[in-house]
Amino acid sequence: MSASPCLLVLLGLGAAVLTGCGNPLMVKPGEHDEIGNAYRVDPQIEWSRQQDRKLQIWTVDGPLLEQLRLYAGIEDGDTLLPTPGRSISRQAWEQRPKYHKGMRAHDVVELVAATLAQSGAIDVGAERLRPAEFGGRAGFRFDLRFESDIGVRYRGLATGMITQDGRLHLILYMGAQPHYFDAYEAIIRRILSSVILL
Amino acid sequence: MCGTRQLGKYRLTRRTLAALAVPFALAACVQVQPYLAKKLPSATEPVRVLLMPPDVAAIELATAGVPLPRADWTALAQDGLVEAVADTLKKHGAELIRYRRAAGIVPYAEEHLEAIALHEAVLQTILTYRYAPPQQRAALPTRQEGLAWTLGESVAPLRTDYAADYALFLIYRQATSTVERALFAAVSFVLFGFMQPTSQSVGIASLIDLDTGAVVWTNLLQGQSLDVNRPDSIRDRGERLLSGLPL
Repeated sequence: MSASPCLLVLLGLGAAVLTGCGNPLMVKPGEHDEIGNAYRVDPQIEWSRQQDRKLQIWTVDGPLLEQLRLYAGIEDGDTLLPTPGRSISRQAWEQRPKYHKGMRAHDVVELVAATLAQSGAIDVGAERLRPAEFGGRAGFRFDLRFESDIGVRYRGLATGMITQDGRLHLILYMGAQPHYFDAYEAIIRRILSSVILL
Repeated sequence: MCGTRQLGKYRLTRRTLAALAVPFALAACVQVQPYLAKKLPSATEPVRVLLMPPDVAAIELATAGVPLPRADWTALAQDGLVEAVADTLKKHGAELIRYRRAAGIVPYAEEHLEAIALHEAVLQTILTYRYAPPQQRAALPTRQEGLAWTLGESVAPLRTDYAADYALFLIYRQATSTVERALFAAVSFVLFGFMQPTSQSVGIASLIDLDTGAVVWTNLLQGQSLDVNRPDSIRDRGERLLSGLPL
């Protein structure tokens, strides 16, 4: 019995997967980093960054311990999982939870929870959905908690908005509950406050 | 939930060490790769080192390469490693404290599982960014050198329950070929110039500061396996794994 490859991707154990996205670059504080062509954020501190199609993954200590995911312009039919490092079957692709135009904030909460659960996370909880600004526009925020297959408890924080033409911008932070989530939580909140829509 | 955690831990460890071992299958000698976070302050009293239950598994490889778990070899290796720890700590003037195994499949007390699971995740990260073979090693620009990882406050219950200064984790895997497989490998090499993987051992040790949770030292040992019927050679392998322990 082996761990789901998706969990390795989602929780970052996928060094191979992330390597498939190209060598990581350093993101530096003060340099407002563009996420897609949708928004910019101030990184506050140095991060290691991997780029996927509509996603950037930032981490300091390694994605298995903490990671910040910045999605931009998620469209109808897109998945929140990174592009797989190797080809997957049509069936596996179809089983991935997907974003659909017309989804509202509570649907996005369920999408994130379903994505985590399908990836192998255990006891996924997504709660406290509430209104929050995203780059000065009306958006939403919610909290996450789950456990990985090796028994590490994680906390998460998500914020996002749905544009007038139905695309999703989403920022998702997940960190191991002992130490790592707390270590970066204040920084993450400052990053979330620094969003500037383009 | 305890069972899930523990089974997950062993599953991941096996996968990780197996992945690491493959490129070194033909390594002719024992190699160690220590990393030290920082020099430890000199102690005025003997430091107390809590030895966590060593995670040991020994298998036999038959001609077809099918791994057969060997409980007798596993027990021998476990005893040999514990003796090596006792000898090494004695040489360093440190006091060995044995973890009190919980009854049942899970050897850990419930209140220690958080630290155990986080240690697994941190160790996996260290293996990925420090010990993976160069061609497979991922880059992490924010943690390019040394050891900057911690278990944070999750170690507090261990510190409280055992009044220890450090916790020592050991993982060891040993695969030994049957005589038939070794002969098959030799014949393959002579006839085709291709050496089949035969016997190998892989181990990793990590030392955790129970005051801060910081990972202060790790060491990876890889090499050919040894004569499993000689406890002294297992002790020697254990001492190599502990070489450079910063106490």
